[in-house]
Amino acid sequence: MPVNITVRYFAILKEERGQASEQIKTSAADLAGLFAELSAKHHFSLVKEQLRVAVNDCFVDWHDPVSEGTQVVFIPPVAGG
Amino acid sequence: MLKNKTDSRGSHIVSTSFELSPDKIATDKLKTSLESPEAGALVCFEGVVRNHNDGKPVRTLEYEAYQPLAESEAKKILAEANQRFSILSAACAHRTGLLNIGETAVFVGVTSAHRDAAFQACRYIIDEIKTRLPIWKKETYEDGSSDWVNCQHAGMCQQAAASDHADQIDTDQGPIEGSQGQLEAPAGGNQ
Repeated sequence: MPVNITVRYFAILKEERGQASEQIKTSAADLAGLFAELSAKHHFSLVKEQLRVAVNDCFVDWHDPVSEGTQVVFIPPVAGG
Repeated sequence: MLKNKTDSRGSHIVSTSFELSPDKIATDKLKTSLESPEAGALVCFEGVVRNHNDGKPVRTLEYEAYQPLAESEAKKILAEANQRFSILSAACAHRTGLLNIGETAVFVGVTSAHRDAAFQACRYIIDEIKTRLPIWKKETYEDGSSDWVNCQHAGMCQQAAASDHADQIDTDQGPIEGSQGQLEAPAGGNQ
């Protein structure tokens, strides 16, 4: 059953995607599958192992399901300070 | 700005704050906010934009943050510092947007009754901030090219986490040292 979600992009992923967010419909089984789907489409330079993932402003697990109406953010390697 | 007041260790009320802002960090004001008659030590750290990184001359730095998650993670880090060390207060601020050489990118200030706790807590907070907050920096070099720090090559991110940029003022002496901070991978793990 496909779900509608918002994906927000930051930093290098935002540049590679060419936009800061998008609404998409996906049938990905989990967040790892969602990233694979988006990466195949947009050819991101980062691989999943370099990223973390957040849903609705909390860090979550890659194996969590993709739920209707959520906001998903893939977190590139951080570099604060 | 996020402000917490936590009842801790009986009589002490520990005050912590975190601010993420495009505006210049008001370090004097932050220091004043930390003042307490019980404090015998105030330790401050400022991470400053350096004019080179990895052998390349840097012209500017641009910081981008995922604000809600950066704020909630900072709050956790400050709470952890409060649990681990006997501190009276802690204040932290991080810039976003475009910064020039010499500007303060990050400030951490801690007070405690005795100096050990303030030094340790300050070190803990800055190290955790650098590895856990969803904040990114883009360096623009003198030749006009630019890079997102730590994002260049697959598999490089753990090493790159140690190669911090803004935490040292260059002295033209000796090798550039990386952070001694914990190398908690920014990638892969989940909290």
